[in-house]
Amino acid sequence: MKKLFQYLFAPTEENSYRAKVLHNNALSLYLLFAVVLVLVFKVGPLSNILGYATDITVDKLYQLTNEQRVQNNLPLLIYNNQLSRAAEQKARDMFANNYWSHYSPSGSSPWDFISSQGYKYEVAGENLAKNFIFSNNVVDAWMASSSHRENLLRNDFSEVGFARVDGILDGQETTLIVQFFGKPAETKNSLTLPNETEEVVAAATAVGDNTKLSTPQNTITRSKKLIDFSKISFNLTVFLILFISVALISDLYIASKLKLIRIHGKNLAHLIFLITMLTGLYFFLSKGVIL
Amino acid sequence: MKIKAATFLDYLILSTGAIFIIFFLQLYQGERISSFLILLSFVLFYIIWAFYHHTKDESLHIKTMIEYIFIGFTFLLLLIVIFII
Repeated sequence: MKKLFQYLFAPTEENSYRAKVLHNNALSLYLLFAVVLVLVFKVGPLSNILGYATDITVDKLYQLTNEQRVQNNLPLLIYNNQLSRAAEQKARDMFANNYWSHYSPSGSSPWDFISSQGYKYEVAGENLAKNFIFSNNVVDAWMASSSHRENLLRNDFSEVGFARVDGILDGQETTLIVQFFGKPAETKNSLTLPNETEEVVAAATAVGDNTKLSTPQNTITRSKKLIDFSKISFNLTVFLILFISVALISDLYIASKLKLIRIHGKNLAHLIFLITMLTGLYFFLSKGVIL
Repeated sequence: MKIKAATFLDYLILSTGAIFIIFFLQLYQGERISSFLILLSFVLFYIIWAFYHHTKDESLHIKTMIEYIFIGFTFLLLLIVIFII
């Protein structure tokens, strides 16, 4: 086992003083594997599903939101289907009318979407996010913004709904996240938006009861599908990147220790290249915007 | 791991290129097509750098260049799978 490991990852006489997994025939296999991944997940039948590589799910957003409330000794938010449907409607409206705002160009407010689903609220709030890759980054970004944090941790809210919708915004493939908070109406109505409309805004809607509680699993099944496939491609890719990185580092370290002079590509150059590419990935992963 | 003085400049060029790429990636953060083109440029720069470096080092060999091409395009494709286009 040790011999095999050395043969694969360390420069020895048996592998011509180059880790076997870094030989050109092995590298050609990685390239072939990468081509297959692109063909399967980006060009092939799964491309429609995977057009937007993101791991964000309603379940995870819901779980993370409630984790933040638990940490702050607040009651858990109950998942509400009507709020989720309103959130999805809002996201689709943003794509249809190409805007990124709490208010649509035609003047529709978030509360119009909530009301259109028959949800009668006493208080309501909205958080938006776009282009995040992971659910935890979305919730972290909201928690880092005082106005969004206020919505997440507002004691008045008792229910929440989410939507994650993919589409084209400003000519760019975009993943929009809409989070609606609410408290079923009893007497008065008030609404909150982050940032410029942070203060409670009065709104007029009828009072009534119509909340139907359910778990997130019952809705937005499309998000479920997206995760499974994107997780597979993401995990396979990360595994291969880590595998090659470990091989490069181990080969470089041992060759340097043994003071080997070899005619090969330079591992140090490969590692500089790799680090640059991964930095690019890091920027991409942290590029989300909240509103 | 010692780097000869003669090759230090080469690595400095590669690192400078890498810093420029990171700068441009940050500048065009969130723009998938631009990010892809920036990374593609870096792959091409990396291969040209390899050709220049190994020529200077008198260690240029077809197998060595293939290694750079394989690594460059493998990582480009893998990043496409993760986040671009």
